[in-house]
Amino acid sequence: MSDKVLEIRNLNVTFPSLERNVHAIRNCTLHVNRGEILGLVGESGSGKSVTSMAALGLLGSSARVKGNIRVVGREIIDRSEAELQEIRGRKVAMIFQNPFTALNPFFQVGRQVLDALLNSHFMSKEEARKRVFQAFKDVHLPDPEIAFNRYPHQMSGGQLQRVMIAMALVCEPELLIADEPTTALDVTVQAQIILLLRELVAKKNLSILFITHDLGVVAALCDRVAVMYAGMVVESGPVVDVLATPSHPYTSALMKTVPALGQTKDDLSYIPGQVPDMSVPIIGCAFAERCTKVSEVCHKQAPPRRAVRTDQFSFCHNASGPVALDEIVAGGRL
Amino acid sequence: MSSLDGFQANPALQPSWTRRISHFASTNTLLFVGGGIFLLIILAALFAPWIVPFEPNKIDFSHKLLAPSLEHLMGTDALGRDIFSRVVYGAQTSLIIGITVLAISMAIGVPIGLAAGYFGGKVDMLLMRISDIFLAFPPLLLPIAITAALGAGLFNAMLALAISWFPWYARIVRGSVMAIRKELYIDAARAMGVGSLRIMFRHALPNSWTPAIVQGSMDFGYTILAAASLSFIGIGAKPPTIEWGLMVALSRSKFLDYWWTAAFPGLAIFVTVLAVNLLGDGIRDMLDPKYRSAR
Amino acid sequence: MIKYVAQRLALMIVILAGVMVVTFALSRVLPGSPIEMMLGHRPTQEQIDLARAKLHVDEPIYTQFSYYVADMVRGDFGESLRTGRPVLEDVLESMTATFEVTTLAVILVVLVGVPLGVLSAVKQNHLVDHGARSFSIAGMALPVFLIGMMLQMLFYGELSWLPLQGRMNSEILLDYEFPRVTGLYLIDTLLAGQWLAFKSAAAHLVLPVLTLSIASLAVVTRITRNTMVEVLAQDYILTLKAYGMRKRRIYFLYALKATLIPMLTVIGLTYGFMLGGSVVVEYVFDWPGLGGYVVGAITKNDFPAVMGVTLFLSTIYLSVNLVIDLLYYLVDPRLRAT
Repeated sequence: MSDKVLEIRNLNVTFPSLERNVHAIRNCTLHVNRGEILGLVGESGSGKSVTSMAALGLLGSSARVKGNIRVVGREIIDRSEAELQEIRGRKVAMIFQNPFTALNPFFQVGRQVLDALLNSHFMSKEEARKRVFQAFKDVHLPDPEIAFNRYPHQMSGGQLQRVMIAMALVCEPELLIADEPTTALDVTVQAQIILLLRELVAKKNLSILFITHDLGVVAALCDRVAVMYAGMVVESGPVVDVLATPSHPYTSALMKTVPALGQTKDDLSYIPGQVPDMSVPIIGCAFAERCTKVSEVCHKQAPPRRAVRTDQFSFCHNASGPVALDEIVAGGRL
Repeated sequence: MSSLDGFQANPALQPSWTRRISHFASTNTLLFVGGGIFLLIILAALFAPWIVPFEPNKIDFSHKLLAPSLEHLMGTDALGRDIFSRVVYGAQTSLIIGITVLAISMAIGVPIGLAAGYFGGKVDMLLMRISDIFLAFPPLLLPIAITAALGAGLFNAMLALAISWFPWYARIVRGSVMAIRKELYIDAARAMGVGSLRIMFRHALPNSWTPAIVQGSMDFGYTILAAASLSFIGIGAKPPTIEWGLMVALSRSKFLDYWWTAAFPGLAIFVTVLAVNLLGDGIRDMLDPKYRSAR
Repeated sequence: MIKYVAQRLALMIVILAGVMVVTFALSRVLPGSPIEMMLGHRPTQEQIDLARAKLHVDEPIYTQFSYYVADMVRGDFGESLRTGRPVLEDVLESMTATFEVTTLAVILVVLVGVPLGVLSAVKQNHLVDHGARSFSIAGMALPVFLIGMMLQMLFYGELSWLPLQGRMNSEILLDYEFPRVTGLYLIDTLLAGQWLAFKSAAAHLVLPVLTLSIASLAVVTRITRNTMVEVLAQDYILTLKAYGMRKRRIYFLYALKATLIPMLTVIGLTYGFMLGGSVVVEYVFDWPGLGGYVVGAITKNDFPAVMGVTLFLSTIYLSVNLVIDLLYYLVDPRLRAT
């Protein structure tokens, strides 16, 4: 078995409710290889967060989850709570977007990291404390001993996010799921966290599923990228390839929306239309209404998986081959 | 804000109005029941003179302490008066009490809250300290003290309750106004030279009285309870006023053997307050979105 | 920490002063000659002169107020028109009876209401939740005096299990002596080894405590539940789950601490509610506590007594709130940072 720390195949997640059923994730397939950073990109509402929560079985009893999710070889779906607790905090760790709300304001940060460690690993308190301090050092928190006793409100966003990363590290997971960890931070702090993550992947052979809506961060940090739209991965592949030569029209459109240096404000581009209503079953391709390359078949049949290169795939009827970047830049500006 | 927020913010996923209402009705049957009962009570109070079979204050010793029957649906009390008729008239009293106390309370509390929230600083501190003083009295004690000074009677009791209750409204309105003060449109108005008072009334007030209304609808029931308690211990309504608490008080010597003399007025209080509370909860759920999830 | 305590204490004193202004205003400024109010009807000229001198009625209002405050601080609330004794003496004597009922009621409410609220939040929309919420809604609609009377009807009238009123069976009270060490009958009878008296005291306590508790129980359960629900929706609970923490640990260690803070407020308010509610409950059960004293005082127009009790209870209430403020400080780390 090829070493994939995370493998998601044909994941379908529905949230049934009195008013409507929301089919939030539709046949989503992606994987994270050992030792790499996969960026999961998409707009708000594309389903990135739901996917990450599904990977840990954190969606709650109201969600109907179907498909396969394997974390470090272990199947997640339809597992009991006890079995899931074995995996959480041991094989997988997760960090969240807003460190101020993700950490308990009533307990010292060091204590929280300690608890997370002692909860999933068996060791003496002294040993655990040592590990926590080491983790604090690994994430470059100044004065680990002092930081240990601080409360969340006494620290900055960047420092707190480092604490969260430390909490993840200390459990020595094989996979780290990072749900938009830099979104709530200043740009300069963002850069620091990104560098830190890169360093940790190299030093600790960590694998990361990095969720974000920011293509710039993906370019700076990730090895591979998966682009999500309306609950489904529409394109995936190595970052360099996908970003330079996007195959799926949505990816190209996304790339266009990132302002380049030298662009004037008249050239700002956007994708017309709206994300489809997820409570209504989607026939054919979800992106059809907004696509520049749309054709008849797109409204009728779900798009097939196309191999653009050995490792780059996209789900589109009309993307026959790689589309050169110059074509996108030159023509088709709004 | 949980991480799933982006998912829910999409406007394409919001349900239509009709769906929302029928969903609301089915999950809030209690609210509808409460509202319905309250409506009945209001009607009973309004049409009391035409509904009741007997004169509520008509004393008739030959018919005293009769058990409930077809003729006297709720029996008669120690003076031979028909309890059903008295209970219906009691609804008038209770509704008047609720409205009066709330009106006076808000009339005092809302302006104070407005001023405190808007002017801030020393004015705020002073007004809030004054409110705190009234909040320092345990419930019912201030009304007791006030009626001791002014004399017993329903109006004094209502005034006393209103005075002990206004700080809540002051606080709520103040909170609202303070939040709004930070909004830019107030600064914009100021920059255009609009006077403080005008800003307060035209901009701050309409936006801040919703929470006061919510609080008021929840307090209505409590007001009725408090007034009944005051009447029960003898410092609220006095005969010949017909008030449910007073009726229970009058039944004290006999209620062990003649349960209906206490049970029916008591039941009336319970049903009314329950209905009003359910209604108040419903109003709060509608107007104050953050409570919707707490159900 | 000291600064915080000092601030709160100063605030309390300011408010207490305000309370005295109110009681003073009620005593002197309102219609009705203050002399008459203090002395009752048909006082002798001698009494009137004495009173005039004592109340300093001929001096400006500010001076009167300062004398008033001085008196209050010394504990001189005047003399009861009914008993003829200093009001403070009456109050201290009745206080223990009220204290016994109120304390037991608060304990009952916290021990039952908080776990019930937590359980209700954890098992949302299950049977327990629906039951607890129905009970809360009903409990908040029942007047306290009605609850008392219904309990009397059931447990005394129908079942004859419990006594109707009073603190102890009068025969037992006479036959079995026990020294009033604390004023709390439950403790005093135990200390004296008087088993029968203890049983009687306990039996008489059941209904008043139950009555006082039920209304507050409804509120506390509801608020605990709602607070807990809000806490459980917080992100840091998700973090704990993501790290594999067992649900029980999450609820009882982490979530509970977050719930404590609003709970403290509720407990403070509950205590206040009970101080006020004890007036009604003691009237229903003929309990010789402050509540009964005050009601008796009102009906006989015993003005000094009413004012004295009001001031006394307000002070107690403020003190309780001060203690709660201090507890806040201990529980919420956010308050300690400046």
